[in-house]
Amino acid sequence: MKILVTAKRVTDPDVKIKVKPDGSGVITEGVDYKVNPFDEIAIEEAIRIKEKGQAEIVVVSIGPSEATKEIRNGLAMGADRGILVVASEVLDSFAVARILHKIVSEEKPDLILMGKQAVDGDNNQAAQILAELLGWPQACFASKITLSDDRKKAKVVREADGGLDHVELDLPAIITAELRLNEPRYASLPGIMKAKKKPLKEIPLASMGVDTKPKVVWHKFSEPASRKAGIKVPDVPTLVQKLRNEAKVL
Amino acid sequence: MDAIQLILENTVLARPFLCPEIRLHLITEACPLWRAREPDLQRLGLADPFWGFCWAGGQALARYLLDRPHQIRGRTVLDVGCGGGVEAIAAARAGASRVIAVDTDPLAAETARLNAAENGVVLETLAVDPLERPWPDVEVVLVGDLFYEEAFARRLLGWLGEQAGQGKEVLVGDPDRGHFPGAAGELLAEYRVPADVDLGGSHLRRAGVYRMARSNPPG
Repeated sequence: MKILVTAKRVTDPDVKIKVKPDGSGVITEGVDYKVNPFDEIAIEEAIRIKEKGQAEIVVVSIGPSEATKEIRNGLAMGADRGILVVASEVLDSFAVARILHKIVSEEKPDLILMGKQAVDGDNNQAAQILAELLGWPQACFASKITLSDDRKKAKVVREADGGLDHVELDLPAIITAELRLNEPRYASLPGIMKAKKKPLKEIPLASMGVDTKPKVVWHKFSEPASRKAGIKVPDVPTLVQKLRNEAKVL
Repeated sequence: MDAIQLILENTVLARPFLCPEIRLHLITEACPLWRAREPDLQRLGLADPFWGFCWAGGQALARYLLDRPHQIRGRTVLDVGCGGGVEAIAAARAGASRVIAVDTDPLAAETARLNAAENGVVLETLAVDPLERPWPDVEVVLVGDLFYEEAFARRLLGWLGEQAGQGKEVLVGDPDRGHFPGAAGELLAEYRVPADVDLGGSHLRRAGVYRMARSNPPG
């Protein structure tokens, strides 16, 4: 079977991001990047499926040329080949889904695994829109995936708001990874070196003939208002008085 | 750390699957470096130790030369991107009069020199970009498994076309990495070679040895 997995290059979620003074976006100079952690979980799941039987794993990313690093990371973990759609423009979830739709129509995977969302924009939309474009079943926020022996169906445990949702899908299908699906492995030297020589195709976005005109426009970015400092009160009566007259909670 | 010490401490002597008559300093499962992760490699300044592995294309090219010494005997050979130098050592063992092994990575050049000594041959090793200078005395150019990255493959192909155009014999070992166009060369031999870093040969892949056409360098 063929599994297509996404690997978005995102700003390091462990580093605090700063908004540009003019509010036009986030400062990207000097920022570290890494693969979206949820995508990394999706890649790990693809490799576990491959280890239980035959599978070819294709890692796809959309972004600047530097995103080959995030793809190589997936190849080092054990994926087989990579595709980078080279794009410098800002893309909304719909555009991302359309680009992936084009790739899927050429690659014809049996299963698409994606992170449930990317930790930069936190949109949580691309997989759902892609499922709609393809007309495929989808199971988002998977914490457990079990493929049938003939690999025609997938049983998925989804983390829903009120508890766990057990669903069964016919493949081909799209499944997105929740944090608790697995713990991704670290690639070590043999994997890292092998990955350097695995096939990685770069496709300029402009050559794909995909309409990526954004439906979502970002008008302004701003940092959350900083929290006001608290005050100390000398005694209980003052506390009660302030809660009643200023906070108005009593 | 001294380069020689670093190489010796992080490798063991092992024989490539397809060329068991050659012993190389290789990074194998027996080496602590085998388990190193990206941050460990950065700490050691070893981001890309290509020289610690005997790649499929290099093994195929080395096998080809070892089996056909008459093709290389008495000739001056340049090994481009030599890494650990398996094809350069094979050329020297097959009787080449002079073998120059070049790699942009100084550690690769040093490893090739150490590996040559281990096999009783002498290589001239250089840590330079071989594509940046002319090699007027060279008669044969060897390329073992360098066609794995699209942009560099294009640059390399253009340069090799020029070398072939000057009358040099250009031999390429490539395990179908997708960036060496078959039309650019004549297939001389095919081998089943261990897939990449796997030394034991549990997974074999095809690798071809090609001679680049002398006329009409590919564009």
